[in-house]
Amino acid sequence: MSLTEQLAEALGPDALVPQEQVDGYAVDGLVPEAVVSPGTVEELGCTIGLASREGLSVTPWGGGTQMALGNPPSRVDMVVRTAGLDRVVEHSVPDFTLSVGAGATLASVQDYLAKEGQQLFLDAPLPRKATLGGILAANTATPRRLLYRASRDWVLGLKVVQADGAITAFGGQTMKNVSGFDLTKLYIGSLGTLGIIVGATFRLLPVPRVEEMLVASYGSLQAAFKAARSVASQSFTPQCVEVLTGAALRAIPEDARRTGAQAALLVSLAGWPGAVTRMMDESARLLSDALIVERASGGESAALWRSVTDLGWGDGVAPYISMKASLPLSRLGETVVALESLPLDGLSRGMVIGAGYGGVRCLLWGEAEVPGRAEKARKYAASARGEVSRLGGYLVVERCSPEVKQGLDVWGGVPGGVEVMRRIKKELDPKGVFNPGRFVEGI
Amino acid sequence: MKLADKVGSLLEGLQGIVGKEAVLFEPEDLMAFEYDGSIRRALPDAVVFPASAEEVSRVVALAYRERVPVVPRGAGTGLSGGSLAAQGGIVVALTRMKKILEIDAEDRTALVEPGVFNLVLDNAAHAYGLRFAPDPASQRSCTLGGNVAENAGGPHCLAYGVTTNHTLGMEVVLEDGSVTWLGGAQADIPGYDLRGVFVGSEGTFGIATKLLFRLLPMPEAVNTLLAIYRDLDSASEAVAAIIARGVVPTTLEMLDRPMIQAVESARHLGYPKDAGAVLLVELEGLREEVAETSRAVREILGGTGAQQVQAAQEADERARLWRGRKEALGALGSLAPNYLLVDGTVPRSRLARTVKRVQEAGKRHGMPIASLFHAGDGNLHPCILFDERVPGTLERVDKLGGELLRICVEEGGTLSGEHGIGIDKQAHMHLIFGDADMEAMKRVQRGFAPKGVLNPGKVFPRGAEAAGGP
Repeated sequence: MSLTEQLAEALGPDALVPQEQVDGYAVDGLVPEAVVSPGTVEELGCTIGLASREGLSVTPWGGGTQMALGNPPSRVDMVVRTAGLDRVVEHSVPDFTLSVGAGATLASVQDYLAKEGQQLFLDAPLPRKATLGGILAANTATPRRLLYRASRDWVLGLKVVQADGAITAFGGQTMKNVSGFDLTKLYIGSLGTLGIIVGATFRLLPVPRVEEMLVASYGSLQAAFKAARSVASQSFTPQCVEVLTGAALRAIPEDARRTGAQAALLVSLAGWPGAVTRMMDESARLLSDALIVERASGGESAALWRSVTDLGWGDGVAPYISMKASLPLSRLGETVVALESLPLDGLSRGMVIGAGYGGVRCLLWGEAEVPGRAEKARKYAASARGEVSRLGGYLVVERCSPEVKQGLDVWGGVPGGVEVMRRIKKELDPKGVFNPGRFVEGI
Repeated sequence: MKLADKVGSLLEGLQGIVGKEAVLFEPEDLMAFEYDGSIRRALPDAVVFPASAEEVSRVVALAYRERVPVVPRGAGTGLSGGSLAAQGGIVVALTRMKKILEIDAEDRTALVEPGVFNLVLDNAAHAYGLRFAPDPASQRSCTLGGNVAENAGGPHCLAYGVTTNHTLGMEVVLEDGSVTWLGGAQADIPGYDLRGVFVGSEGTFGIATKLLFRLLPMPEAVNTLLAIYRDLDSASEAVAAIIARGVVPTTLEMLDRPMIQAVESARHLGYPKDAGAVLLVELEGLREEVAETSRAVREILGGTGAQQVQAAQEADERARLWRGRKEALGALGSLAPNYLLVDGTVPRSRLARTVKRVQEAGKRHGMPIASLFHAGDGNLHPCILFDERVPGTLERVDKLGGELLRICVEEGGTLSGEHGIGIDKQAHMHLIFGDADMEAMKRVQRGFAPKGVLNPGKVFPRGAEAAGGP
């Protein structure tokens, strides 16, 4: 029996994505033999069991927004979608907890929760496509992490299908839980190389009473950055303090910045009304060097954040390469200067700087007519990584074309524990079923 | 060769690494290390006190060569037997490694050695307008290395999270003595989150020799409210209403009637005789925020039938309101010579029901139970009161303890909220984890420690340890 026949027999013909659509599931140019979209966790487990027995590789696929992340896989035999696992399993409103299938999109869950005045901490580019499982597997993070930290801090439990098809669960439904080892942490950010996240339980947050925003334009990046650091260093924590510069300014509507502005600072504050008023006043006082300061709230501010979060992901002109650097806060200023001074060689650059948590998204655009643009993008990435690592940080290429990936390690180094990582991969996925080659250190 | 003899043959080597005075092996010296804060006991064959990561590494490498179990230990305040040498071997006590290496006010981080006491770090951070948020009840005497091993909690976790949420990275000695660094201060670090899974691994993955923590700014304002209720149901109703209003207090602590009576008879704090529940609410943040949330909370306390409400903003007044909660466990001595503090967690909304079932179980077993709760995060600590001198009591306590955990699990909760599994709860792991779940955990453990030399005989049900052991 062929693979597709076996799958059809095990799961029913509906679980198989029609052969003519399979090309759309290529990863870095590798087209899978079959694409499966199981309707239940059990079916998904059965699919993985079959792949494992047949010696096939499996590429998990949520909304497909992060498929450019990672090194080129060594094999893509079967793509397994989680889209069929999109139901709310349990929503305990009084407990502020939600258990949900991994295939649910972020937007659908946020819309659902908003009716109860609750929200998930998570943000991600393209929330109508991005699934919760994918967001966790890729550890996608966005500006609000300044206040809410990372997704690892809000996941109470995970359901995971193992490499032999076994269905397992870790963590639970309570915020405090030290029963057994905390494997949820291991799966978050593992890019589907240890197992497939099929369900998650989250701690929820109340929707803040008030959300307000300051948008300030600056004549120089230095001035914007300096203001951003002072805003982020107050005794209260804003939701976000982000600086945009260069081509990233396109995320902000024309009327919110003065012509000739070199950088913009976005500050978002949320909480109880009286506190937000004061935080707005105190933050605004620190923006006296700005060319212009505007206030935004409600839908206007939400649209602005959407545009900043989606920068480089949306329907506009996609960047040729998108990099993400993480540094200790105290080295962020030097890093920004270093990245700014690297030669562009005909490419154009935009940066989004997380001045409160030490992150820089650096995006390069290169039109098709720029000669040797792949080589130039690689060269920039290598120099940028050199600078970032000299300053004590990490630089990951989060998105680029397969052409740029040739000869480029998108991850760079890890802090340590390489042997432990390799052993864990071998223990949990001895046959190398999941996403072979896409992760760090050849995992 | 017997384990004791093996360890005996290593003594000279150990003394050569850490110095003669830093190795204990005489039975009378070892007895102090037979205990932790639990009711379990296990005698090690030797105790060593390394003074540096290098010494830890050399001790561990030496033990590894002979496959002698190595058991890391902080201050021994743990409540699940995590630092006991369940299978004998060498206890590596980290209490000499107690330097705060660096506090970085700009990055808001602290780098410390594992033997630093929790409260010492918190106090040191205050000088920079910062603090270390996790605050287990034993924070005066428990070490940060132990906090990380057990993923310790505390009464202020509702708003700030537990130890794992504040642990950024660590230098770790692996079981073969090799030293590596996991995690870091950067927001996104490539690779598996080994730091995340290391926290709460109960000393079985490695020994942390440096710890990097996140510090938070001190809050501008704090308001503590204490409400007294006639019954637990009304207090629970208040808890639910506070959360439903979108208020996230830093603390929602509760005492039940037997606990109040214990505190009252020992400390005379003036709680009314018919008090059925004491609820302690703490709110922190900007002045304006605390004013707004306090107003909301006061309204709820009044609306749910609180008999009395007291509030305090100044430190000494707040300490007075906290006294009953802080001294509750100490006061239990007035009721019985011993107690077993059970650490269960349920979804917050099931708390009141769970407590009723806990009380019924106590009655059925003929053993009194007094409880305190981190009500905001559903963490309950029923204390079974007993006298261990009465023959057969420990078995009965164990049985009742097991039943209480089963109740928590049936109510959608789990075995341990903040104390760990250790040897205390290993027999109950199957209540929440299936074979495949535990198999995956064991595989990860083998990834860190393939030979299973570190703290063997813990976490998993006996006879099912991760690796063969020595």
